[in-house]
Amino acid sequence: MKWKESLILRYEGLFDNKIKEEKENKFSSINGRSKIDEGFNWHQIVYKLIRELNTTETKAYKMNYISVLNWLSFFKQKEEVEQGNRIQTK
Amino acid sequence: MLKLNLETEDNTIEYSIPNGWDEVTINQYQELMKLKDMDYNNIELYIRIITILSDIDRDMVEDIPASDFKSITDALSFTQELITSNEIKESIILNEEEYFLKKDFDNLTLGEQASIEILMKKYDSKLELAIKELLCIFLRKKKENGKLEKFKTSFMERSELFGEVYIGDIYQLFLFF
Repeated sequence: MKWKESLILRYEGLFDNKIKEEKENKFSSINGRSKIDEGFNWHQIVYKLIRELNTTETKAYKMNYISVLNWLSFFKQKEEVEQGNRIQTK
Repeated sequence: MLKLNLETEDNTIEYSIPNGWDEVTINQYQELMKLKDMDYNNIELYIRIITILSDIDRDMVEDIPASDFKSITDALSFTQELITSNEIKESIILNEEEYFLKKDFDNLTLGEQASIEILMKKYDSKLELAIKELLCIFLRKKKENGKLEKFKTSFMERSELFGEVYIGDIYQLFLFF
């Protein structure tokens, strides 16, 4: 199996979200800038790692990619759980 | 390499023509791939293939006797077939320096993966156009301690050098893309 395909299968949740965001981005120029341009996708990942792991840009780029995908999956699930909890407490 | 003697008005010049994909450089492969989208007849196509693979001037190729032309096109029929290679080479020597192939995709860093995806996007996912630059990510020198050097964006300057790598030596690596 090809490398990218195997990653998409292993991290389906992450890449599903990315595909949805890419579709939404197509409308950003029509509706004003509500989404960050696709060209900044990598910056978004690095920005998230810097914030969440209290690291630096250089260190983030040196991180193992599989490890990054694991962290992003964790952040995503954590945000979903926290969002669910906020809805329940309202 | 297949040796070919062509007679000019004054003397005989010896040329070399690849016998298979393992003797075709990435630069030549990229030129060949450009022919794919052209609607050339067989003769024109082979004149261009011979010119790309042998560095013989087009004028001289046109002067090749028909019987020789046939044997050359037979020898170059591999260009109409898929690239086959037994296994990925461990290392490649260029300009007296040895470059090792980083083959373990699971050990790619975020920076390396980002560079790969940016390159694939730049070339509209056309692998044949991106190969030279992708090799800058996958071909590394070894440090004194035996470990591969860490990726730096300055490695991208090696792409012209990697154009001289034989496509058959590294193509299997890109089957994973």
